[in-house]
Amino acid sequence: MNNELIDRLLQSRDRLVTELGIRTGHYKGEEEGGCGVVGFCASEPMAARHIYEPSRQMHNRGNGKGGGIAALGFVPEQLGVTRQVLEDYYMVHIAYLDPGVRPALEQKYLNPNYEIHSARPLETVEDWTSVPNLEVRPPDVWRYFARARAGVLEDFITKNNLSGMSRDAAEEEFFNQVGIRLNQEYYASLGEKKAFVLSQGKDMMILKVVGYAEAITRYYRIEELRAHAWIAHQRFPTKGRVWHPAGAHPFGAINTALVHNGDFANYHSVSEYLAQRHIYPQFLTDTEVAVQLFDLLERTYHYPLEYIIEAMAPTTEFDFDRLATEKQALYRQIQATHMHASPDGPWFFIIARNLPREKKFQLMGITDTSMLRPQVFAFHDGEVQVGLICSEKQAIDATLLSMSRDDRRICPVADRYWNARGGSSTDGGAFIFELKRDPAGRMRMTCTDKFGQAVALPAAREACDFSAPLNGHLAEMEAEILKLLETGGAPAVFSHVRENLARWTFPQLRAALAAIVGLAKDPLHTGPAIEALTLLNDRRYAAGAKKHSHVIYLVRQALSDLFSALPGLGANEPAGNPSRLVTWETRRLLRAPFAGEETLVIDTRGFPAEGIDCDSSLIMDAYFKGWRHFITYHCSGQRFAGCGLGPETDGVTIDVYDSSGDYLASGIDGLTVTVHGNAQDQVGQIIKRGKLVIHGDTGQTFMYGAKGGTVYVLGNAAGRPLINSVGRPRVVINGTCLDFLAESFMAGDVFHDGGFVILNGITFDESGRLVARSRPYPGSNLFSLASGGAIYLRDPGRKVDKQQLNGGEFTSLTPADWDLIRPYLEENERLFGIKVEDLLTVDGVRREPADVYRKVTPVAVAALTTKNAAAKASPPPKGGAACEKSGDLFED
Amino acid sequence: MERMRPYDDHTITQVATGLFGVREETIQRVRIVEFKYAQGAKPGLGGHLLSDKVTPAVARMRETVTGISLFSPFPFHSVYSIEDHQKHLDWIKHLNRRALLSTKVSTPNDVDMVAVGSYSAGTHIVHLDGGYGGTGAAPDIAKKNIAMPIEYGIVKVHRFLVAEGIRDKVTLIASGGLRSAMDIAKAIALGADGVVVGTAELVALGCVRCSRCESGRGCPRGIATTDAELSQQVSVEWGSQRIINLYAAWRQQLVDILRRLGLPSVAELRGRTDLLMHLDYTNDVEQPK
Repeated sequence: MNNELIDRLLQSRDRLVTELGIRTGHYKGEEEGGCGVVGFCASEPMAARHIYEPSRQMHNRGNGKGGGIAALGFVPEQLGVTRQVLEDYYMVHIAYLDPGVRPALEQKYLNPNYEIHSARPLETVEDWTSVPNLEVRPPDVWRYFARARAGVLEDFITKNNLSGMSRDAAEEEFFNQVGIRLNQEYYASLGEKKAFVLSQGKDMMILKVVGYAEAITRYYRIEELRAHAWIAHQRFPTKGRVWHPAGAHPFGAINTALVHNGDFANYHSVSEYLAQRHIYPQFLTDTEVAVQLFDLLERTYHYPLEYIIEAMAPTTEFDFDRLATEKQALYRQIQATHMHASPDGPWFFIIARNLPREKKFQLMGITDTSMLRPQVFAFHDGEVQVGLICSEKQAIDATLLSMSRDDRRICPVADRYWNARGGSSTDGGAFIFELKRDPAGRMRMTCTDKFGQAVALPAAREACDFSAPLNGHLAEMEAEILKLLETGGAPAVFSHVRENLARWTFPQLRAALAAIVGLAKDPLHTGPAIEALTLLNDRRYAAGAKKHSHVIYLVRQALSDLFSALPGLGANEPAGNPSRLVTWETRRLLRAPFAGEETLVIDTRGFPAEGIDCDSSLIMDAYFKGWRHFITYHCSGQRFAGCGLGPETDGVTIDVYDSSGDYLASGIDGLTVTVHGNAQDQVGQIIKRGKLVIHGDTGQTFMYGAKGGTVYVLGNAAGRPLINSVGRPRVVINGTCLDFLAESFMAGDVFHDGGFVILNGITFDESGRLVARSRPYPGSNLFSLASGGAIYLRDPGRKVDKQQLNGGEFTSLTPADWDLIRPYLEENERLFGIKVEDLLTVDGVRREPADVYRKVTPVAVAALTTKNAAAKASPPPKGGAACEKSGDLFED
Repeated sequence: MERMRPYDDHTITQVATGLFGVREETIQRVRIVEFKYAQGAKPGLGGHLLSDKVTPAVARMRETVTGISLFSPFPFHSVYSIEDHQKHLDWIKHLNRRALLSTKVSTPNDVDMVAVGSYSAGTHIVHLDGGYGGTGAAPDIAKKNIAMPIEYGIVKVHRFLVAEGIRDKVTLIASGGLRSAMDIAKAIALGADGVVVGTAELVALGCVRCSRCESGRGCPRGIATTDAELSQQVSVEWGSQRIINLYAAWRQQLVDILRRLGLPSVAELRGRTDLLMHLDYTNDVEQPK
């Protein structure tokens, strides 16, 4: 679009806001905090009820005062229109808070402007109070299929001098301006609000309520409504009384819906920027200005998506330096022009949009440059492809599980899970799922990052038919596995399955797993069977052409079957089994362990995520009754596992299976917690002593303020791991971190009982072989402002630059260092099968430890050690983190 | 720690951004746990304890290493939003179900929203810390220049809580520059349920306000010091008596104020802004010629 046309478009908006007298909106109507967000899109239309489970599970991220959903890509028949109508007409959804205004509103705004193909109210249940989780009667919503009247649109184009614009684009702007007029008269200008536009766009819908998001599907009776893309939002507004849902997310622009987790510190500045371009918020929330900004960059400036993302989440610091020169020049321009509109503070957007001219849908997640909000992405490949973006991984798991119940082609375990690194040169902090029809007319999905690089997916394609009954092989497998159990125990069984897996068929694998589960019924074999399945769950190994996610799902299913078959509490308890199962139904029967009983197994289904009735409270009770070993499974984000047992808990073990929750193992003092999968956010806060093992990745602010503990992580940690840790934590992270590893680390002298982190920077290929990451640590900040402890970095290629250190320096690894860290790497080998030999082997050559590992130690900064008053005035050490977060040097 | 046990029911444990010395057992011992998000004297700045002051005793309490400088960041890195705050409160509730939870914040422009948000996340006590407090360690450029005066903050929050219909469901505590019995009466009349004082107590102990609190051996009266020799200047008995005297005097003054206003209890004073007047805005004060 040429500049002249942009000017004319801006002028037309200027006339509009002048005419309407809109000149306010620099102040937020209400504060809101973070929230729970979830979005998914799929190559086949999915029913609305699949947004129900993840929404319900993220209740604790909202407060029931605002929920919303958006959907794109409908099945025309379900809406009672033809595909042609769905493609040609805009879907306009209007919420009537006062149903009486509808005739007048239609008369004034809709009928004269639009040719209306159909207009009908959304069906609702008769009694809104019968729907749980609604606080206020939701508005009446009418859906109009509308397009601009030809003559009226002509007039609009002429009057606003927009003849250079395509007719489609002009029509979009026409809808936009009619919507602003309507909202101004019936919403923004009124004390008592009467009506507002929920959404206007092709093949899309937004609905909102005062309540939790999942109530929408019930109230408007759309549980079976199917669409290719869905997003949902649980809101946590801090205002006590909310009478109507207009402030709830998602907020829409033409063809676009956006939900947001976080809040802007610079709402005023973003509003100023928009006001200079004659755009004013009418609902006065962060999210609204966010979608206005996106819409401006897209529909007015016609930026490619990459530029839009750069304008919103600029690339900074070391990441900027790593961009190619031409890209730097381009980004510098974008930043100079749009920096003051780039939202500041914690935010994470999920955006779904329809691009009707290109005939495709997109679902994307964009994270802020500092990565202050949690986010997880997942890709489920196969016949049915699903892309997911959520605040918590457990919500992804809940969505896939819900879908898999309907469609056995969907596996509850995705092929890939990952985090975005905000404002980075590696992925740009944004990922875009795109749905487009292939030449055969089938909808297919791709996923790329900000720079258009495709997300790599496993090559293995062989899928398991989960709907097939278990057949054959069982007897022979049972005999073989029994023999192995008796001779070599769990390791023998694990090796047997691992070695045969590539040549086995899926039915054979299922038979082998069923055999292990069956044999576990003998108390003698229960322990080894759990151990064997756990090894199959935790370790990385080759699965041949089989989809690894399907293998993992079968193994987890086998574990669940095994646990669920254990003897329970209550009448007719069979004696002689070292394990006891307790469920939500039998929790009140909890008693002290009898002689010979060792492990309490908790089926966490039905337990709330927190509070007096949560499963970790049950663990506390059981601990005080004398139980010492715990297994929890079927977890779906329940929090605080292992918290509250108090000091001196050596010898206690907790093994957590499935989707563990936030704050796991926080404050432990002696016990061992093992997570058999990925962990979530705020894991291991203030750990004092004890052991934590994570067979996967972990989330934000891992081990914040930790004082000690021995910790092993198979995969990655997200942002801010080990921040503010003191004392003597000793940590091995085999993957990498997003950024800010060990900021303000204060863990003394490693040779005198201090703490350290070993960062191996490795990953695994599809055959389970160790591979070095292209960069062991991609972030701009490593060990910033640290005053004690050390980082041992596996970096044989010397790829980590000293610019990435703010207050640390590289030193060489001495034999004393190696003696110190070797026992931890050996334990790492025992836990994860990562051989020390392999870590020391680079490109096939065995190297000396000092050639492979580098040590980062704190630099003694004069200002931090001298006590004179001048220290107060001297600047902190160079670097972003120092300046931006800890400010000046002041006493605590 | 052990000799503090008899006072557990009268102790508030603070969970501050550095999380130093925060342990399950200390949280489980007390009746009130306070989350310190910011200090009014230096909001947004965090803190720093110079290595010199990290003596073996300090290191033991804070579970750190002797002689290593300590940072308290701003903000809580695990709390960037209201639902994080709720999760943070839930964690402490999980450890100690009988504890009352307090949230200490400074006074930004939207302090009313912050207070209501804290309440809706499950806090029992909102503690507002205005911009006029702070020890000598807080930098002059920050003191009085960032957070708004507590007097404005109290009214703003009190009125908003009343409008939201939740004033009686949450306790409002004020601090930041409250130095005398009259200040306390004013804060309560503005809408606070109670106050916290700091500097006044230091002065009672002999503080001469020389603003060298951050230094290990800088305090001439041995109050803000970790130095064994200097700290001998204040004995527990003498110090306790000075504090007792301060509070006894304030009590007498407060009773006198209440009597003159005809109020039967201090609770009746809360929110009675009608009993206050601003001398600058009245004409009955004699103007200097």
